[in-house]
Amino acid sequence: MSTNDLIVKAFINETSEMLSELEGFLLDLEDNPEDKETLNAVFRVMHTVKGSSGMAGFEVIYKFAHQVEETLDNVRKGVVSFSEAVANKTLEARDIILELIHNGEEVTPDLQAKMDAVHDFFSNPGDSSQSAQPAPTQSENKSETAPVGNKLNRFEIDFRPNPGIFLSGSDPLHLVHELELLGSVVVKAKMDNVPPLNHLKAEQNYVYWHCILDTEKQISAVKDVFIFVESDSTLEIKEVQIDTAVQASVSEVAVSSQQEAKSVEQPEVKAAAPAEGEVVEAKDVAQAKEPSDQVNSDDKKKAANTIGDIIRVDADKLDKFVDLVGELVTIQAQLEQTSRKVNDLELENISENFQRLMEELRDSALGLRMVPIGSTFSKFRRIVRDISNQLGKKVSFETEGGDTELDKTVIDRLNDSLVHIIRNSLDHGIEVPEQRLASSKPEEAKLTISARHAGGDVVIEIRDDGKGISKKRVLEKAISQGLVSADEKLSDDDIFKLLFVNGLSTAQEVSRISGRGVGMDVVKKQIEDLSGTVSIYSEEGKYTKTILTIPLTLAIIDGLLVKIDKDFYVVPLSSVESCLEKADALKTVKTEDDNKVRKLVHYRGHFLPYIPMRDFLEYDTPAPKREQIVVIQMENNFYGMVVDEVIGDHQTVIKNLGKAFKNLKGFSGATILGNGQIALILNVGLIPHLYEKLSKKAGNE
Amino acid sequence: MTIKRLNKGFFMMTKKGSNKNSKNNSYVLPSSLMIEDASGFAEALLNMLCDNPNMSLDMRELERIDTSILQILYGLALEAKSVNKEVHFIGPLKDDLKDTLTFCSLLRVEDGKEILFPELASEGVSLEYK
Repeated sequence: MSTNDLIVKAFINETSEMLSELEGFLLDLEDNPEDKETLNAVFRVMHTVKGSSGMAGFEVIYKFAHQVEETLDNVRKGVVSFSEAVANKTLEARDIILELIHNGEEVTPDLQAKMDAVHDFFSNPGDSSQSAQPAPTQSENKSETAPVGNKLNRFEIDFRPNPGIFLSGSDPLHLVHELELLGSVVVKAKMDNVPPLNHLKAEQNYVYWHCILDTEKQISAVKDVFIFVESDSTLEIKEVQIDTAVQASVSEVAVSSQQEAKSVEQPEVKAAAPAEGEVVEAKDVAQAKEPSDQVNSDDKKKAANTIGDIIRVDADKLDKFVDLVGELVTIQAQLEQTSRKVNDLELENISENFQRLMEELRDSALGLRMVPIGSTFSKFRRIVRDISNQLGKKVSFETEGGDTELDKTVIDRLNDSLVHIIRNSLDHGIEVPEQRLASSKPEEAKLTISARHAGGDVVIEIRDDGKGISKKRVLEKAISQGLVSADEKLSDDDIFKLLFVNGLSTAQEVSRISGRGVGMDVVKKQIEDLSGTVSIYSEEGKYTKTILTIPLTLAIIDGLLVKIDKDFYVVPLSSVESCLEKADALKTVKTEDDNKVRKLVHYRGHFLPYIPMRDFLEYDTPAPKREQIVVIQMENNFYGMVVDEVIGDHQTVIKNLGKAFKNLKGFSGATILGNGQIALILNVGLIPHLYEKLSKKAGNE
Repeated sequence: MTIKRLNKGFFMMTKKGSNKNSKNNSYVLPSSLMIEDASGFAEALLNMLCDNPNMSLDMRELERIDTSILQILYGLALEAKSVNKEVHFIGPLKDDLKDTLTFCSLLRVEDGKEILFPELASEGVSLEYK
C-alpha cells in the first residue's frame, strides 16, 4: 500500500468516525442550543473534516465542508443563531460528506442536487435578521486584507512539526496555508534543519515555520487551525500589540508578497526575526506585555496524552490475532490430553501453567475486540429523530448501558435488527400526540434502548410506552393465515412468538417505515445466527418491549463437552443451568393441560420437558444404562437435554461449518478437540423448536 | 524527457539527447509531486546529481508540491552546494507553484528577476527561464 493509500485509508476511517460523533453532537445541540462546548465540538469536527479532506486530496469534500464550517463558525460567534434549520442542513451536509467519502467523490446528479440545496441554504442560512454580517466565502477571505482602523489582532506563530508528522497524513504546508483564511499572513518556511539530499530522509519532516498573522479573529480561531496536529508538533502562538503603521505595513506586505513585490523582503525578515535575532518591534512589546500562550496547555496535553494511549488497529489484524489465539487454545487442549496420557507429573505441571496463561491470553485477546455498544446506540438517535419528525410523533429517545461491551462482529451484525425493531416501535407502537393525550398519556412518547451483561450474554431491551400489541389481532391474523387453529389455546408468549412468523404483520397499513411483515422473522433469523434469542412482551395500551439476548463473542466460548454414542458435542456453558443423573431426575407426572401421564425432569421443585438427544440426532445404537441430563436455560424457560455422558468444561474455539452445511439446523458451529476430533456446537435455542417439528412429523407419519 | 513512476517509491529518469557526462542535462518534473513520490524522487535526484557535474530541473510543468517535496528540492540545492556542483531550476513556474513558494518566502523577486531559495542563490543554484 502506498503512502497515499495509507493517508486516504486513514482519512476515510477517521472522518467516518468523526462524522458519527458529529451527528451525536448536533442532536445534543438541538436539545441544548446554548451549550457552547458542544457547538465548539461541532465546529471542530467540520473544521477537521475540511482540513484533512484537503490533505488527503478530497477536493469536493474540502470545498463543501468549508462552507458548512464558515456557517458553523458564525453560529459559534453568535452571528447566526443555531436553529432547527441549521441543524437539519448540517446533518444533511454530514450525510453528503459521508456519501462522498464512500463513493470516492463521485457526484451523481442526485447528490449534486442535495449539495446544491445545502449550498443554497448555507449561502444564506435563513437567519439574516440575526446576522450581523454574511459569512464570508473562502475567496473573499483569501483576498481579504486586514482593514486598517478595525480591531486587529496580531499573532506570532512558531510552528515546529515533529519529524514524523507526514506519517499521520498531515502536511504542515497545507496547515500554514489555512492561516490565509483568517487574515493577512506572512510566512517564512525555515529550512535550516533540512540536510543535503545525501542525508535527507524523504518521509521525515525538517521544515518549521514562522508566521505573522493579522486577523480580526481571536486566538481560539488560530489554535483551531493546528488543533489536530498538537501532539505531532511544538506550537507557540503569541499575541502581540501592533500600532497602525505596522498593521498597514504587514497588510500591504501580505498582499504584495503574493504579487511578487520587492517589499516582501522586509516583513520576511521580521517574521524570521525571533530565530535570527532581528527582533520585530511588535515582538518586544508582546514579550513585555503579553504572557506567552502555549497551545499545548495542561488540559490539552492531558487530552492529547489520553488520545496517545489509544492505538488504532485494523480490525483484520485483530481477527487474525484472535484466530491465532484460537489455534493456540486447540494446541493447549492437545497438550493437556497428551500430558494426561503419558502420566508425567512434570509435563502435567507445564500443561496446567500453560492452560492458565492461555485462558488469560484468550480473555485479553477477546477483550481487544470488545467495543461499547453505545456507539451503535448513538446512531439510532438520528433515526428516531428523523422518523418521528416524518410521522409527526413526539418521541424522547433514551439509552442505558451504552458502555456495555460486546464483540465488534456481533455489534455490526446486530445493527439491522435493532434498526428494524426501533422503526417498528416508531411506526406501529408509538401513537401520534393527539392519540396519546386522548389516552391520558404524556404527549411525548418514550423509547428506551438499554444493554446489560447477564452471564456470558448481553441483554438488549428496546421498550416503548406506545399502544402495545393487540393479542386479539395477532391471533385473528394467525388464524386467518392458517398458522394456528381457531380452537387452539395459546399463552401470551406463544401469541407474541407468532409475530416472528414470516408474512405476519398486524399493521393495518403498509408504510414506508415498516409493516410488510417481512421484518421480525428476519430479525429472529439474524439473532439466531448470532446464537442469540429474541422475545417480545407487550401490554395493550401500555408498552411493548423486545428483548435480545446475545452471546458476548462469536470467537471463543466456554462450553460444556458432552458425548453421545462415540461423538462429542459442545453446549454453550452460559446456557447450562445444571447437570443431573437421568435416573434420579425423571419423574412420572400427570400434566394438568391434557391430563396425560408424562415423564418430566424434576428440577428444584419444577417439572421440565426434556429432549432425548439420541432421538433428535437420530442415533440407532442402544443408549447406555446411565444417561445424564443437562438442564438448559433459555431466558425464563428451562428444558433438559439427555446425553450419554457429560465430559466437562471446554474452551471452545468456534469454527464456521462452511457453506456445505449451511442448511444444517440445530448447530451453531464446530470446534476441534485436543485429539483432533470435531465436536459440533449445539444451538440450544433452536433445538426445542426443531425437536417439536420432528415429533409432530413423526406423529403424523 | 520524462520521469516515470515504475513502482512504489522508484523512478526511472530518462533524458533526451544527452549522455551521463554531458553538460546541461535537463530533467522535466511532472505536474504534481507529493509525499507518496518523495522517497523515489529523492533517490533519483541524488543519483542524477552524482552522475553529472551539473543538472537542470525543468519545473515548467510542476504545479503541486507539499512540504516533503519542497524540502527535497531544497536538499538537492544544498547537496549541489556541498559537492560543488550546480543545479539550475528551469522556469517559468506555474502560478500555483509560484504562489506556494512565494507564500513560504522561498521565492522572491529582485531587480525584476525571480530568485528561488534566496539563501542559496549565489552558490550554484539558479532559477532560469526557457
